[in-house]
Amino acid sequence: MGEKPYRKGKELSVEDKQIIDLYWVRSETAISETANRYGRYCHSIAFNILHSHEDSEECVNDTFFHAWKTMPPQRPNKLSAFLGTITRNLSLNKWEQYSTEKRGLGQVPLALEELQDCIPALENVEQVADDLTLTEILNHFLSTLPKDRRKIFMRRYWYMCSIKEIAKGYSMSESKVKMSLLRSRNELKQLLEKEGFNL
Amino acid sequence: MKEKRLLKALGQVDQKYIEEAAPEQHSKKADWLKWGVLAACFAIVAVVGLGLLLQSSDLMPSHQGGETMIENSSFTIHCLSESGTIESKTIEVQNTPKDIFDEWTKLNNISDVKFVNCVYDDYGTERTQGGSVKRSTGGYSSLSLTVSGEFPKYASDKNGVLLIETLRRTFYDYNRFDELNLMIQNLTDSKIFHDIVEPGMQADDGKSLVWEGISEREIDGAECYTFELRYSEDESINGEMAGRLLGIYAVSKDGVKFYQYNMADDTWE
Repeated sequence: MGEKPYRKGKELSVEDKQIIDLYWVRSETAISETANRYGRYCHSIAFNILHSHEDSEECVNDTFFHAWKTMPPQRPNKLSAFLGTITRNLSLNKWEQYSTEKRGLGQVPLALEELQDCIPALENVEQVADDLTLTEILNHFLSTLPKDRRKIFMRRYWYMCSIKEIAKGYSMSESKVKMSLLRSRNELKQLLEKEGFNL
Repeated sequence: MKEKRLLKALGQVDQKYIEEAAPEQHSKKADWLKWGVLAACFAIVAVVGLGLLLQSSDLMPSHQGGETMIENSSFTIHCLSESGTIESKTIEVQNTPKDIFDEWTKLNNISDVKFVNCVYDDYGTERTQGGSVKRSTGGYSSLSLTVSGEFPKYASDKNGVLLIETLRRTFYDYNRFDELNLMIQNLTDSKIFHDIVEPGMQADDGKSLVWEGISEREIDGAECYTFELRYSEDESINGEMAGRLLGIYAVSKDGVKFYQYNMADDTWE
């Protein structure tokens, strides 16, 4: 059986291709088309981190500007994830600039607290992982998780969705979401320790 | 902070995982249209709960079994006026769900929406021969009304909620229920109807199935939604079949054509 062209994620949708083409021909409608299609998506990512509509809007606009600067030469395979990654990075950077008081809002402090579970114990550490290696380990870790648990993990620590929101999104109880996250965090910790990495 | 580094490093993971976990971002209107077609024949598009305790009521003649006299009676039909308010009219009509429904579509000027099926499920209710019902403690009833695929186009505009409310009131007056399940049938081919499983439903052998991989493509010049039917990832039920593909299907956006993907020949049939 050949490559299946209909599979979700195997191929860009027509609309994404058209939008990317607009960037490549330097048409300014690229921005408005992107805003129409992915404005809400990017805004929700920013808002989960920043907890401010005004700042989120700024990050989303910066995302489109960044996309304009990087396409071409870039031609992303998944436009939504490409834009979302930019928004997430910009939002986390902005979050770091917040005052301590404002930084307490949103899901980031909670997510960070939870991620402390994943930090390997010092006695097992042999080397400090560089960023590239760390991403590789995380990719490997995600590939080993069952799909449902992976989606919950990504919703929490990539999209910074609240536990309540995830529970609602996947029609499960909040305690089940928490349990799933706990198991995933423990497995990540074990993997990091097994690989002998410090962070 | 180490955990902050972890959080940032996660931002660079493979985009497939980011896309896979993306929260739903579509509008309510899109929900109507997508699910209406996606489920191939049936999709629950609105569940209107009432939470009222029922009193004794008469069963619908067409569903009580045995001999039934169908006769004209006075019924209250609710409809949406031009000014967008709900009005009620009392009409002499045959005592069947179809006739009631047809009157409702006439009054709402949406006669192209057709009645398909109506099932009254009264869990915990004891029936008696005479057609009256006695409610046992804790009973809960639902009325499942299936209508044709034209309905979403009326129900998805700004007055859609009110339109559904008129339908709910009309059938509530006709036969009291706790919950109305409104379903849309897009395909009338009964063969397809029997072959397809609703989302979240189980196969005959008890294994759970899911729809996945929803996308759009053109087949024979028709714009279609395509989707896969898989065993769900629940290993405790599906065992080694968990996550496996059963088949790939497509339904044209107008709900008229239905295709199955032939993997061997790479064709849609």
